Amino acid sequence: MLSRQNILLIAGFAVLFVILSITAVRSFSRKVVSDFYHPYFTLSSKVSDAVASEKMMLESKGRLAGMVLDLQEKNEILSAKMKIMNNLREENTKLRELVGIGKIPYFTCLKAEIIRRDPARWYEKLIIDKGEADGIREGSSVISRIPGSGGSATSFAVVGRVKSVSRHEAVVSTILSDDCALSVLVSGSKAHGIAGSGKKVDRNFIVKIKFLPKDVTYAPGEFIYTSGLSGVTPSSLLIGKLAEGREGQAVKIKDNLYAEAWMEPSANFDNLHFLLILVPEK
Amino acid sequence: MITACYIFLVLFMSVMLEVMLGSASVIIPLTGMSLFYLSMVHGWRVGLFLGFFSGIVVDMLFSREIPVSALSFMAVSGVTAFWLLKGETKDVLLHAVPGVLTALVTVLPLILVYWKDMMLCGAGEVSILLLIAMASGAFILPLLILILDFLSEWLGMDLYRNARENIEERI
Repeated sequence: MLSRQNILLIAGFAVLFVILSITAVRSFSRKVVSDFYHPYFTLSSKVSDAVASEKMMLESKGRLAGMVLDLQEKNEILSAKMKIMNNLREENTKLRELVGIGKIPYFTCLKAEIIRRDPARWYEKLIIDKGEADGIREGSSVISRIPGSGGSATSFAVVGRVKSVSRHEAVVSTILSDDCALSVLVSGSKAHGIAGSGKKVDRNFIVKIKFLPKDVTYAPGEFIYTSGLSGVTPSSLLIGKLAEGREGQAVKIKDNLYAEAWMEPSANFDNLHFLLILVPEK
Repeated sequence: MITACYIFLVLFMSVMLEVMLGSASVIIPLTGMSLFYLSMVHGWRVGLFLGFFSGIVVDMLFSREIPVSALSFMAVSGVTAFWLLKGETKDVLLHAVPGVLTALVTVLPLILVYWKDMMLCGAGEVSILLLIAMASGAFILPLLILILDFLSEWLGMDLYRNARENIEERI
């Protein structure tokens, strides 16, 4: 069985694996493969959209007129809200200039749908249906909707960031993944740290925050937000809250140099379908 | 040419379905099953080649840094060689055995390589994933052999049930 021909064959495959270990080759082949398969994976959602649109044609005129009126009403409410938002944005920019914080670059918000998830890394990698052609850029923050604390209102929480982009798709590394690092701010103590890499404890996810100043007092339950220091992530996006350690303390001192804490992420990783990508404007 | 198109279509569909089911959090080793069939019909060297490329495609679609599927799909050729020497090709129901073996060979390396990441789902869920993969392998392989042999017969190509007839050539 181990003839000269077979040894050559095995050696050939070994060489191919070595070539594939080069990041550039892997990244290029990933882009080619994902763009080749992209139309087939998005076909199902396109078909369901087309069916929904055709279904509209079967509705009665009265019902359609009712739906139009309903949409007009919603549109008016949204326009009014938008006007208020724009005023607030202008006011915010002026106040920032007055205080001297400076103008924070604006971010474009893009909606994306998760089209694939690796069962081996279910909570760590998400593949979305938007890519370079839609304006997605590497490093952009990814957020998802979460139910608000009041029950009625909704807010958003950070899920992760875009790791790599191909023409029509992008890979998102969640904050539970080892290769996602986010600069964070602990709300109460105003301390900065780096969050990333998670684990599961008693059915709940917790994410490690490293390099927090050791001389600050931290309390479990303090909210964690993005610091905005990186420039590609907007500040003040909710990520989670400080979890309580085993001895009731929020942090642990590492090597007498910095504090390390665990955070409970606010995003619901079991129920992710649509995401919002915050791409910094050029 | 027809054979090459047929192989491409079979693998294309298998990869598509496997990735789609994977995105629904179920590991069904469809590509591994198709590779077992194709290796049996066209020889283990062809199986090795097809396993490498379809594995790379699966790894790329799932954006994996380690090409674990490429390696495990290539290992399916080993199951093929074992089944050609020790098993038989006429009794379709008996193919539940290589079905389970193929599922094990394709899914177990994935679990071992991404053990830490998979533990985020919990050990119980990982065992269930493996059990489902093995059970589906036992069910899918005999069914796949029937369907693909029917198609091959219709297209006038080599059949799985005759794979053991020229065994020296294949090994």
